[in-house]
Amino acid sequence: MSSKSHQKLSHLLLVLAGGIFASCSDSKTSAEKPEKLPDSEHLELAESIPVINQKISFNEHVRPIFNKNCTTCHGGVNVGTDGKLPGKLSLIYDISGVRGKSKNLAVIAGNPEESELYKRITAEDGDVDLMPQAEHGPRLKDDEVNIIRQWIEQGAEWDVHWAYKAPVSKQAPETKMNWSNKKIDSFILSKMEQRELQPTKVANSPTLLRRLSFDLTGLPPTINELDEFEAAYKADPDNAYAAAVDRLLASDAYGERWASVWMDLSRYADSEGMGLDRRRNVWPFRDWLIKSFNDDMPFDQFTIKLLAGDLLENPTHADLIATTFHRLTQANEEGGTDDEEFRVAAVMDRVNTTWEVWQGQTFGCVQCHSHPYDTIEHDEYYKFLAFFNNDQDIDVSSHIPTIKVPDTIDKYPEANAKLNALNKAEIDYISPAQDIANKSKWLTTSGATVTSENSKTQIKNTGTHEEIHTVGNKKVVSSFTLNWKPTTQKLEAIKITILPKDEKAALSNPEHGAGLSTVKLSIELLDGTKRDVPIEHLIPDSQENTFYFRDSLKGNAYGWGPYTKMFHPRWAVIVPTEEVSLSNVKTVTLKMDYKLQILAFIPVPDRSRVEYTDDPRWATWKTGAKAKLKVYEEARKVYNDIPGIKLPIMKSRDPKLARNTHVFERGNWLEKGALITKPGTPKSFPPLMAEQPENPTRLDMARWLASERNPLTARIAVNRYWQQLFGIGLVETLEDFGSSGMAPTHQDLLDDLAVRFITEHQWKPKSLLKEIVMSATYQQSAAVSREHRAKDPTNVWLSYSPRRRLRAEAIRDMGLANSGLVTHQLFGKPTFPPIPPGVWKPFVSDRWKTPEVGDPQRYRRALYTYWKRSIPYPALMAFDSPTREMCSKRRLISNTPTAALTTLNDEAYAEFAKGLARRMKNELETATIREKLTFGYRVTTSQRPDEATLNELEATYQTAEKYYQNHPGQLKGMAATADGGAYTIVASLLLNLDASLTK
Amino acid sequence: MNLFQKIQAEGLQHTTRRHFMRDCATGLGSMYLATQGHALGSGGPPLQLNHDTNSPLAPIPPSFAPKVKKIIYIHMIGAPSQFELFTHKPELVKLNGKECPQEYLEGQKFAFISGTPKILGPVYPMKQHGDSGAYISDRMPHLAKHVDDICFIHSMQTDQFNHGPAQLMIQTGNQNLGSPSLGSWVTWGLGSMNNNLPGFMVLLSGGRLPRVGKSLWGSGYLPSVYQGVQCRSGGDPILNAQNPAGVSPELRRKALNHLNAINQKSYDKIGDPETLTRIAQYEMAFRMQTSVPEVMDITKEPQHIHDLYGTTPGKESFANNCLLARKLIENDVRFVQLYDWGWDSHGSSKNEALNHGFKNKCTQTDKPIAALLTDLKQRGLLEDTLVVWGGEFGRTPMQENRNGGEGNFAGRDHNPHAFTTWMAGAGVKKGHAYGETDPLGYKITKDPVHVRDFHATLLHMMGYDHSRLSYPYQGLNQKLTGVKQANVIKGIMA
Repeated sequence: MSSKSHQKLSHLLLVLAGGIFASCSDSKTSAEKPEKLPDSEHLELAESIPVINQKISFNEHVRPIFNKNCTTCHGGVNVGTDGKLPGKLSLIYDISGVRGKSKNLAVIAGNPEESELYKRITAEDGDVDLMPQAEHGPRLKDDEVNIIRQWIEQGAEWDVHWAYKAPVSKQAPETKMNWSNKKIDSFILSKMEQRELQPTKVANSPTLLRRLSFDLTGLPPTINELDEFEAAYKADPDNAYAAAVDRLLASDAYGERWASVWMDLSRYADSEGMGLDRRRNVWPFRDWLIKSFNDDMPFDQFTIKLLAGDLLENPTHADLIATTFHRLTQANEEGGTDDEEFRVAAVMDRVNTTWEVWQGQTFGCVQCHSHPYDTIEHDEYYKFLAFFNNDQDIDVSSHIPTIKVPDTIDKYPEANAKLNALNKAEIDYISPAQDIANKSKWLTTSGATVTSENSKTQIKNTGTHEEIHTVGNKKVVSSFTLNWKPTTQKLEAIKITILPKDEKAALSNPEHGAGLSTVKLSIELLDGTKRDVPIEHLIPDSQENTFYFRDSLKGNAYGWGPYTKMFHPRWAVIVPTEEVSLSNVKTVTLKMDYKLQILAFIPVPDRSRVEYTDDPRWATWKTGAKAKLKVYEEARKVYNDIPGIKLPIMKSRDPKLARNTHVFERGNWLEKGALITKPGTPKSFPPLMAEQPENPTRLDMARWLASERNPLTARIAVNRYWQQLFGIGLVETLEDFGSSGMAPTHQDLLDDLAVRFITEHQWKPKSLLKEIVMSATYQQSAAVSREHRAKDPTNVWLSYSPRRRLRAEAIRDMGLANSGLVTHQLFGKPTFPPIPPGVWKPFVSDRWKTPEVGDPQRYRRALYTYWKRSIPYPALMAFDSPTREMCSKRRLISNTPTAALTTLNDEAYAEFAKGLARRMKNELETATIREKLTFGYRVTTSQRPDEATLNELEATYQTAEKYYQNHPGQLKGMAATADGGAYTIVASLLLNLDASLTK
Repeated sequence: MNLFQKIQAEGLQHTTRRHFMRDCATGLGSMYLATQGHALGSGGPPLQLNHDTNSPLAPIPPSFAPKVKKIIYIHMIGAPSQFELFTHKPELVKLNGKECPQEYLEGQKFAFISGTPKILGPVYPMKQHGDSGAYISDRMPHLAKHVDDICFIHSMQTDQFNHGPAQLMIQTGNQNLGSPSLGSWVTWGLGSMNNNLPGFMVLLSGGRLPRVGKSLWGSGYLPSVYQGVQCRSGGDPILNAQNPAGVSPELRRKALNHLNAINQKSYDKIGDPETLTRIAQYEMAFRMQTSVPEVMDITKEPQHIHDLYGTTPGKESFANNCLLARKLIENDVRFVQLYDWGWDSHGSSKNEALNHGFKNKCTQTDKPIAALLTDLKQRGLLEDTLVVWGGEFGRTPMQENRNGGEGNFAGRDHNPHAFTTWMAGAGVKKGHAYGETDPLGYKITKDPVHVRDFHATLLHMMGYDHSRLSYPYQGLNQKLTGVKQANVIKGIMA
C-alpha cells in the first residue's frame, strides 16, 4: 500500500456522506441525492479527525466503508439456509474472533498488518487475494484503507447499528445562545450552533395559529379564532399559545386529522384491490382510528389492539374492529385465482407492513434472502410470518372471518353481547357432540357401492377404510351416492370425512377443498320398500367453517366442507332425527351433492369416506340437543339481524387446523424450504416474552413490539409525529431505520423523545405533540434570508420553520371550511363528493352517487371520501395521496400542473369558490370592497394582506366585474350579478394562492 | 431449473469466475450475486440524473445516443391469443380435439383449466406475407401488409398468469402495486420534449378500465409529476381542462397574472423556492388547457386520414386513439400508452370466444393499427418512434375446459410461458422474427425474452443502461428490470 495516509482526508467526506448502500440492486445510492443527506454532520467530523490517533467510530466511519465496498458479497445475502456462511466472512456481524475462508483471523485488535481483512484490502493489484476483487469493484481508496487501519489499531471494536441499541434519555446539551428553556430546543440549537446557524424569530400570531390548526386538526383557523387568538396573544403570548394548543388537541377534528396518517399506514381503502377491486365495507376501522386518537389512546395499547385485539381477554367490539388493520390487505377475486396464493400474499403484506410501521425496517428484503446489510436472516422472516400464518382469512369474497358492526358506535356493546351469546350457543351445541364423535367407534362402509352424477367415482379400499375416489377429470355439480349394508343393529350417526389425497403434503401445500351442498339419507327395507330418513343434526369437527354448516341439510349450494383449501382431513357427523333400527334394512343410501360452482377449481372432493356408528351416546345426546340447537339458531338469527355491515377482522385459526409454515425459497411461496417449528422474532432484537414460550402468539408479538424494551417502536413513532409537523423526520427515511437508511440528524433528541414518550408521556400522542408544538423550534418563522436558507437549504437543522404545502386531505378540507360549506360530522359511511366526469369507470359495478348541491353529505371532510384502489379520488391523488394499495410511510410532496388544474377547475373547487365569494359578499354587509377582499384573504391565508397584495386583489375584482358587466351572458352557472361573478373569480384566486396552499 | 434459468446459468459459467459457483449455495443465489457489481461487464454505478426542480420535465440527455426517442405502446388488455394472430403451429391442426399430451401438463398451474384438456387447433387460417414471409391470420388483413416493417418476438415470457399481476409485471416490471410504469421511467429518464403537453399520455378504449386501474401508468415511487396523464377521446380530454362555468379563458389569463403577482410577493417575502415552482406549474396548467384539447381534436384531420384509420370524431374508440397517438407523437410527446380492453378469450361467453368476440376485437383494431404504421411512416415519424404491440401473457394451445365441461365457445387459458409481442419502427429489425416455441407453441425452445429483458431492451434503445437507471427507495436502488439479471436482446435491434 502506498503510504499516503498523512495527506488530508479529501475523500473521506464522500465516503462518509455516502454511507448508504443498496441491496437488491447493483450498487450504492450514495451520491444519488447528495443534497438530501445530512452530510454537513459528517463533513465536520471528517475535517476534525486528524489522520492519526483519532478515535474511529465503527458505525460512523467503518460500517459505511463495508457497506459501500464489501457487503454485496460479504453481507447477509449469501448466508446459507442453515444460517452459516458458505466459507465467507460476513461484515454485518461482529467479526472479532472470526476466521474467513483463509482460516486466518479477519481482524487482530491492534495489529492491522496481521489481520487478514487488512491484508486483503491492501494486496497488490492483480493479486488473487485482493478485496474487492477486480471484477466486483475498485480497490478501497487510501483514505478508506487508512480508516480501517486505524480502527484495527485502536482495537477493532465492533458496534451494532445505532437503531438496534435501546435509546437512552439524554441531558440537554449546553448552548451558547439563550433561546428557550425547552429541552427539545437545546438539542436543536446545539446542532445549529455547531454549524453557525441561528434560529429564526418567532412567527407572527396568525401564522402560529394557522400552523397549529392545520398540524393538529387539519383545518384552517376561522376568522373568529384568529381574532381571539391575536388579541389574547398580544396580552399574554405564552398562555394564549398554550390555550390554543389545548383547545385544538381537544377538538373532534384532531382525531380526523391523525386518523388520515394511519389510513396511509394501514393501506385503508373501501375496496379490495387487485382483481375485481370490489367494494369492501371497512369504514368502522377508520372510525376506530378517529376515536382512538380523540381518546388519546396510549400508543402501546393502540399497537396491541391493531395487531391482536381479537386475542385480548373478552375483546370488545372496538377491540375486534381494531384488527381490521391487517384485513386491509388486498384481496384477489379475479376468476381462476388461487386463493392460497393470495392468502399468502396477504400474510406477507402483514409481515412487511408490521415491520415497516413499527420497526422502520425493510423486512421485505428478507423474503428472498438474508438481509444484505442488516442483521436479519432469511428464516427469521418466516419465523415472524408464522405469527400471521394461522389466522382464518382465506381470500374469499365473503371476507370471512367477519363480525356484524352496527352503524353507530353506541350500539357496539349490544352487538358484542349478541356475538358472545352466539359463540356460546354454538359451543354448547356442537362441543359435546364433537366429544362423542371423538370417542365413538366408527365402522367403515364395507362392501359399499358408489354411483355418481357428472364426475366419475370408484370405491377404493385403503385397508382400513372404503373410500370414494374420483376418476379422471372432475366436473362441477357432482353428486355421489353410496350404498352399503351396515353390520350393526342401529344407525346412530354417520361421519363423512373429506381428505386430501396426500395428507402429509397437504399440511404444507394444501389441496383444493370441497363443499357438501346437500346430504340425504335413505334406507331400503328387506321387503324392497324405500324410505327417506330425515337428518336433524350436522356437527362439524370445528367451529371454523367457511359457510354455515347446517346449509348442508337445507338444499342450497352451500354447506359444510373444507373450503377453499384443505390442509387437513375434515369431518362432519350427521345424526338422524329419529333412531334408525337396521334389523330389517337391506341397504343404507347416503347421497352427497357438491353443487358449488366457482371458476378457480371444482369443489368436489377427490377423496372422501363415510363411516357409521351404533354408539348409544348419540341417542342420549340427541335428547338435549334439540333444545340447544334451537337456542343456537335463535342466537344466530338475533346476531344476523343486527342492522349494519359485516366487517372483516382477524381471528386465529382452530389449532387443530393449523397450517405448516415454511421458509419460502427465494421468496417463492410454491418452493417450500425448511419447516418453521414455532413463531419467533429476529435474534438481533430483544427477546420475545411469550406467555407460553412453546407457543408464542400474535398477541405476544404485539406486546413485544409495544414494549419499552423494543429499541425501535418509540423512536419510529416519535419520528413519525416529528415528520408530520416539520415535513422531514429526524430520520428522513421513515421507511428505513436500518443501516441503509439515513442516519438521524439529531440522534440525541430522537432518543430522548423516544424514551420520554414512554416514561413522561405514558405513550400518549397528545402529550407528546403538545411538548413538540410548545417548543421554540416549532414556533419559528419560515421567512429567512437567502444566505440563511443557503446554509440550511433542506431545513434539516430546523434553523427556520419549514413551509410545507398542505396534505391532500387538508387541501380539500381547507376549501370546504373556507367556503363555509363544511359539514362537521364525525364517523360514518364513506362519502361521494363530486368527481370529474369520465373518471368513474369501475371494472365491476360500483356506484358513485354524489349528493345534490346543498346536501350536507356532499361537504364531508376528505378522509371520509370513498376510496377505491383502482380509481382513487383524483383531487386527493393530485396532491400526492397514495393509492393505499400497500402501507405507505410517507408522502412525497409534488408540485404539478394536475394539482393546479384541480384547485382551479374541479367541480368541488368551483363550488368552494362560489361559497367563499358569497361569504365575502354577504358576511360583511356594509364593508367596502377592500374590506371584503381583506376578509377573503384572511380566510384563506390567515394573514392580513399588505397594501400591494390588496391592490392586486382589487385589480382582479375590478377587471372581473367590468368583464361581467360587458359580458353578462358569461355569468351563467356561476353568479347572478357582475359583482357576484367578480367575487367568485377573486375567491378562486384566493383558494389557489401559494399562501393558501401552504402552512 | 427451467430452460430460461438454465440458459442464464450457462451464461454465467462462462462469464463469471469460478468462485461464484463454488461459493454459493444455490444456482440462483449465484445469479443474484452476479447481478451485483460488475461481474457481467455491464453496469456501473447508478446514474445521477439532474432534474431541475423548477422544471422537472425538462429534457435530459441519456447515457448514449438513443435509437428511439418516442414510444407508442399498444397494450391489448386480457392477452390476445397468439395462435389466432401470429403463431403458426401446424402441429396444433393435427392435434385439434385430441387430449393434450401429458408432458405439457405436469406440474403446471392454470387459471381455469383443470384435468386433461384437449388441444384447440387454430380457429383462423394463416398464411405467409411479405418478403419476410411472416405468418398472419386472416383476421389481420391490413396489418399483414406491414409485416416487412415488423419485428415479431415469439418468445416473450412472464412470471404471472393472472391478469392483474401480469399487467403490472409488463407495465411496471413488478407484479405488485407501487412501482413506476415504463412510461414513467422513460419520462423521468429523458424528460419531455414538449413544453405544453405532458411527457407521458395514456388513452383507453374497449369500454373498461384495466382491472389494476391507474397503477398501470402510475409513477410508483418516482415523483408524481412523471405519472401518465390519462386523456379521453370522448368528453373532456384531460381532467379539469375546462374552466368552471363563468370563467372565460381571457378572464382566467388575467386572474392568473394577478395570482402570479401575489405569489411572487410571497416568494420575495419568504424565499421558499417551491413558490416559484408553483408559479411555473400554474403556467404549464394554463398552457395544457389549450394545448391538450387542441392536440386531442381530430375533427380537423382530412377525410383521407379518417378513411385510413376508420375514425369517427367524438367517439371513444381504438381507431380514434390510434390517430391521437400519431398526433401526440407528432407533437413530441415522449410516451403514448394505448390500452384496449376485451382480449381475454377464454370461451366462457360469446364476447370472450375466439370464434365470436375475438373476431370483433380484430376488426376494431386491425385497420387502425395498420393505419398508424402507414401514417407514421409517411410522415417520417417511424425514424425515431417505436411502436410496441402486446398483451400481458399468452394463451394456451389447449382448449379451455372450464369447470370440467366442454366449452361451447372456442377459448384458450392463460399462458405465461410463451407469447408474441411485436415492435415496429426506430431501433428494431424490419421483417424479422425472434425466438421459437415448441411444436404446440406452449413453451419456449429458443431465445427466451423475459419481461425484464424486454424492458432492458426498450431502455437500451432509448439510450439507457437498465442496470444503471435506478431510483433509491426503501434502501434499494430500484430499477424497472428488478433485481434479477436482465439482458438487452441484441437479436431484435437494428
